[in-house]
Amino acid sequence: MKICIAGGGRVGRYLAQSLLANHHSVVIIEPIEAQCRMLADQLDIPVICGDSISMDILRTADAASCDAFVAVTGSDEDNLIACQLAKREFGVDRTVARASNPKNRELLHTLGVDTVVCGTDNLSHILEREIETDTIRQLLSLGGGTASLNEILLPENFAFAGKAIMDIPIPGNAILVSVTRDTELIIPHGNTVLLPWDRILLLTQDDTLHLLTEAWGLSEK
Amino acid sequence: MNILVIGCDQVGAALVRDLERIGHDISLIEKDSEQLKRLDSFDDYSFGGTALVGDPTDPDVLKQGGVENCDAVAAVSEDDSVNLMAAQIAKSIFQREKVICRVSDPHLQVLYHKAYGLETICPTILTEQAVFRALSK
Repeated sequence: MKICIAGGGRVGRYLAQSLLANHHSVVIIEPIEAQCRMLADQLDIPVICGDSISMDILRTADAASCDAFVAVTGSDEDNLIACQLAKREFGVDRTVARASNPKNRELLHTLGVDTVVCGTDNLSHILEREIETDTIRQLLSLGGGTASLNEILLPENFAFAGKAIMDIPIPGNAILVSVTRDTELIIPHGNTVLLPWDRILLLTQDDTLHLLTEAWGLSEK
Repeated sequence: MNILVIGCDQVGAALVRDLERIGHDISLIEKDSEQLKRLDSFDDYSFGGTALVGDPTDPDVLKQGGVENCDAVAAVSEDDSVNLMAAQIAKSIFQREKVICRVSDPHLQVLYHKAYGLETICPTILTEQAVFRALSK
């Protein structure tokens, strides 16, 4: 894929590096000249020096030939406008914007950005979870950080040990995906029994995960 | 009319003054509290509306500024992106019909007028045309 990145700061640079490692072709737009020089020295890719909300610059970067456009500057409003231009004027299929303000995640999506990533939000969710309990590990963040796949190690004193799943409360929006007992993987049904030291995979909406950790008594260490 | 003005640089401040002088009620949102001092710099005029320091691209700040009850919104800060984002929020989230947006980049001005239905005003083009007219006299 060919990907255009608007914003050559730390996020833009690391993103470019990992995309290059995965054999994508990358072009970066960055307004600060010294930053451009550094990027061009470090990465063997075209770096366009200019403003990513300028049509001329987007044309120079050949945005129309890109499969995806990712705006990761520090300014949410610049990221919005750049994505709108990429989509409307250059017909880029997939636009992704970084939102620094968590409130803007939904807003930018409403205003037409395909995917909005909020680093501040994701990080605070992760920290929140780490603080909450160490028996839950997030494996995969989904839905732009609104949901996730989590691995939960059921403790020795698990409140519902020996009970069937259909008799265990699962509050909030969550689905039990699998149960691993020793080395055996079980696809659970209503009558599957949960035991201490089971490792379960749980798909859950992030804002309801705390309901489950409370109901299952996972918060106490 | 109740008018919500976004941005208090030289354009915003003069606009607020002129609108108040002809009897409009003004609510003003500006990111930088220093900029609000401009309102005190005019002779024979003192600001009688409400001014709010905050991020005009934040829907909650726009609400505090009275976007839900205003008759028109004028986004006239120096930053094109801020104006375009605030104007789109006023238009598509708060369903304001009259939304005017200052856009310095002529390409963006045309695009956002055509594709997003914003009333856009481009100081670059206005200046160029004024100079052109002055020279062709």
